[in-house]
Parts: sequence; structure tokens; C-alpha cells
Amino acid sequence: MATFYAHLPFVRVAGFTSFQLPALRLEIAQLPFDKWEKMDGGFAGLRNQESRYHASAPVFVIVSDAADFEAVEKMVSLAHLAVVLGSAARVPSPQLSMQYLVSGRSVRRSIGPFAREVLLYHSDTVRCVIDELTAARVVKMSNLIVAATHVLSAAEIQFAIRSLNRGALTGVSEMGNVALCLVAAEEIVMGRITNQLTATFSRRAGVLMTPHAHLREKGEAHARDLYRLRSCFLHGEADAEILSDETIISSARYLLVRAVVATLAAVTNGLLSSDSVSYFGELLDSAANTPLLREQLHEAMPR
Amino acid sequence: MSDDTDLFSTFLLSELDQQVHWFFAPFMQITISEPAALGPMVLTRLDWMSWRFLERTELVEEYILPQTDQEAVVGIFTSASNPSRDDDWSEAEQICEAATIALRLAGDTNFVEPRLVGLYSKYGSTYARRPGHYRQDMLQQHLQPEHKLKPAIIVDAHQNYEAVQTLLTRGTQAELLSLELFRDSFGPYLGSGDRLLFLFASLEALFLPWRERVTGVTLERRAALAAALGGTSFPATLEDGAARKARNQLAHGEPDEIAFASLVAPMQEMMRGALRCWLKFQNTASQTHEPVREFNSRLALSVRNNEAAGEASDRLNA
Repeated sequence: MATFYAHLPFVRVAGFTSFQLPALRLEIAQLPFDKWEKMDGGFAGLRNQESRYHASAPVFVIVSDAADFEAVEKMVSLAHLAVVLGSAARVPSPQLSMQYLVSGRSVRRSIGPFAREVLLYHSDTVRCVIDELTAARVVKMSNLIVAATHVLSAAEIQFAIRSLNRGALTGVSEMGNVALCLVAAEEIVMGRITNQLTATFSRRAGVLMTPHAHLREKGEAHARDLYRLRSCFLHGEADAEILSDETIISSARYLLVRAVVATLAAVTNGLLSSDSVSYFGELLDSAANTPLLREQLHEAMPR
Repeated sequence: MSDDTDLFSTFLLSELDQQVHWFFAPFMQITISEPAALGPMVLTRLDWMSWRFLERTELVEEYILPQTDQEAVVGIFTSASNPSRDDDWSEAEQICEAATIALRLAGDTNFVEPRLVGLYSKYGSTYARRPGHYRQDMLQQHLQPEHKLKPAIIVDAHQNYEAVQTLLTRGTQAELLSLELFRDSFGPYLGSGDRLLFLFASLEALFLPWRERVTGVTLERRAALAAALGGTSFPATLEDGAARKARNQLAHGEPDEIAFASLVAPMQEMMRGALRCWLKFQNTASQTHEPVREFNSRLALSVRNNEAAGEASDRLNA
């Protein structure tokens, strides 16, 4: 039976070398050099590669019993999504880097646009460190993703996943990433609302910021700042104060992640039906005014 | 360095001054007929043997077949950056960024940016490199040039280099936003919808919210004037509300890749002109508290007064 290895670009593990995602029946692991050497011998055998490999300590998604290539690629993309949702980091898709399908002595390589560049030569660029806490969150995210697989095809969620992936591409600036994330987050949170935009966005996104009703104002203020940031990007409102606030800028991607996770959690916990994803904003409205519903939603979201 | 361009026409690494930090920035997919100045750089062709010295890695054996007739265009320049001592590439990277944007604004949209491929340095016999994430892919695909960079474009980029460099180093985030999003629209592996999203964001970052009329003048008319002053035009396919409709589709997650694909190039061309106009305004107009708003106010006045291009340009850059 074949085993599939997909490199997760710019990811490191810390405190351990591997962990399982049982729901997806796969493993995320820092692969020893000798194993990689067997898969990529011609390249790995060249001079200095071992020291480079150790410096970059590449992490792979590993699927055993990989019979069907298409099915395996889908599992890997779900594992990647679990890492992105669990970390909110700008981790590009494994399809951009190296993937190997190993069966006995036969190795089939899939070389993405990064080729072996990120795998070997960029040990100083780390976008996501998976420590024990993050690993636990990634596992929970993978459970949620599997439970809510049918929701992943909803237009809003597809758009969000695509935006998270495109925002992680090399060549897209931090500002470009923020623009993509805020547009996608607005799509999930606002639905068909066309008036009282700032107030509605602040109220709804504010729910995603805190489980505590007594902190509602603080959550809404943060969401309002994010909407001001969105206006800077999409409506040219040159708000110097917001554009220089790194805390707000860095939380744009986090907001989109929270919106995706909350939508999936709402469906799997019966707070929203799977064919009503476009009404998620209305659920947030209710949660804004009902402390119990707010708590239920947050309890359903993996932390 | 512009007086020394002949030095590199028959380029030999060993002829370079051994006591100076030299930098090499590859511009892939293009070629040039003769060396030319671009800001502090000299753009020249680098032959394959020299490239091997710079790259000096397994990549040479593994990826790039050693064909002696291959060459790439590189920008060669000196800098205060000292990568061999303290891994400091910052000034050299800034120079590359300004050169890249100046070339984009001059009208060449088809080259691969150096930052995606890498930056190389030489000091005496010490070589260093700062590889880009797509280095291997780009080196394999684009070492053989696909088109010739027109000399007039390099001249134009050279003339604008200082203004770009000044804006990059001194501009506030609000003043840089439009330029940055414009550049993002050229990134590799993006869909048409993504590119267009960046372009519309760039458009509104420069011309204020769509809904906002500046002294009664719409975004389209202000953008059209700025584009014209920058040597391009507002695309006819985006007139009569079509631009706003496409932007709303994008902002609400309704990507229509086929329809959007035809809008990317005209939008990039329009923004190129508009940003050239903005750059000139930034460079010549007196400093104001809110330069984006002031830029739009002056454009709006010219539109309202139906001013000729020369008059509008004078008002803008007074």
C-alpha cells in the first residue's frame, strides 16, 4: 500500500515530532532526513542538503494506505485547512510545494511552484509553529471539518477558504491578504444586508470576538475597527489611525477564521441548518441579544 | 553608475571592483538589446557561466540544463547593505522594489519580479544569496526570455525611479496602499477575480469611496482624468456603472472568472496611468495634510471646469 507525503510550507512543530488527526486518518510530522532522502534521493544526495534539511526541519502531512490519489489530495487539503483554522497563519497549500506518493521502491513526485525551494532553503521563514496547544486545536478543527464536510461546499465557505489560501501566496502583500480576508469575512457575516452596514457588522462580528455578553461593547468596538479597516481597503477611506494599527491589521485574518469556524460549528451543533449558511448573520444577530445563544455558539467552537 | 553601462555589455564577474558590495537582481522573462540604467542599477544580460557563479548551488546541476547560449537580464548595483557580514539586505531589497514598481508603472507588465526569484551579492570572492520562494520554478521556466523590454520603457522607469523610491521610503500607509495593491495584482498563481479585487481596492484607495462625490464629481470622472494625465485611459468596458457592478460582484463573493479575465489588463493599464499621475502629484505638489483627498479635490475641480490636459496638470502639480 502506498504512503503519501505532502510538505506543509513554512510550518514547524515544537516540543514533539508528530501528531495524529484521527478524523482524517492521517498524521502531521517532522520527517527525518533519511526518510526524505529515500523519496528524493537524486536531490537529497547533493552536497549540503542534509544540513539545509535539518535547518528547515520540514513538516509533512502523511497519509498511509493512500490508494486513491484524488481522495488523498482531498484529505491533505482538509488537513491543511485544519492547520489554517487552528493557527490563522498564512500557510500556503501543500500543492505549491513537494508531494510524494511512495509505494515500495516506486516514488511519484508532484512538484509545485515552490519546487524544493521552501522545503530546503528558507529555514528563516516560519509562519506557523505547531506547539502542543496549537496541535490540540488543529485536531479539534479537523474533527469539526469532517463533521461539517457538507457545509464546506457552501458558496460563502468556499470563498472564504479560497481567500485564506490566496492571501497566503508569496507575491501577495500583507495588505492584499487583509483585503481578501475582510471581503470574505463580510460575505459570511453580512449575507444580504445592504443598510446600516457598520452597525450590523459590528454587532454581528462582535459576537465572534467574545463569548461573554458583558464584554459585548468591547467586542463590537474591535469589530467596528475592523470594518473601518475594511473601508480603508475597499472604499479608499485613508484612515491613517487604522492603517497604522498593527493589532487591527493582524486580526483581519483571525476574524475570517473565526467566521468560518463559527459557521461550521453552528451547523454541526444544530444552531443552523446546513442549507441555511447564508443566514448565519441572522444567527449572530440573535446571539448578540441572547447571552445563552452566544455562549452556546462559543462552546460549539473549538478553542 | 549610468556612465559605466558599457562595462557590463561584455560582462565578467572578475572585472568587478573587489572592494565593493555588488548586487544582482534577476528580471525574468525579458531581454534587452543593450545595457541601460534603471535608478542605481544597470540592467544588463548575464551569461550562463556568470549565472552559475552567482547561483553556485545544486540547483545549477539539478534544475537548469547548462546551455551556454542562455542568459538572463539582471539589474546590477552597489549598496550599503552588507549581506556577507550581517545578513543585511534591506537597502538592496528596497532598490529592487522601487525598480520593479517603476518598470510596472512604465508599462511592462510581463516580467517576473526579482523578489520572487532572489537577490544575489558578491564582495571580493564571497558570494551570498537571498532566494525567493519561486526561485527554482522561475529559473527553470523563465531563464529563456519571452519578450524584449523596449528601451523607451526603461528610460521612463529610470526617470520615475527616484519618485517611486521617495514614496516608498517616506509615504504613509494610506499613501502607499493603492500602489501596493496595484503591485499585488501582478502576483503569480492568482485568479482573475483576485487580481481584479486588488485593482478595485487600489482604485478606491486612490480615488476615495465610490459613493463619495468630490464636489459633485464621480470616481469614474476623476479616475479618467488622472489616467489620461498619466498617459492611459479609463476603459470603455468599465464605463456606465460596469466597473462598480463588477466590483460589487467581487466584494460579495460572486467570482465570474471568465467575465473578469477580460477586465484585468484594462484595469491594470488604467491604474498604471492613474498611479503615474499620483506619483507626479506626490513628487511636485506642496505637502498637504491629506494628500489623497487633496489629489481628488484638484482633479474634481479640473473636471468641473472642463480644463484641458495642460491646465489640469498645472493645477494638480502646483
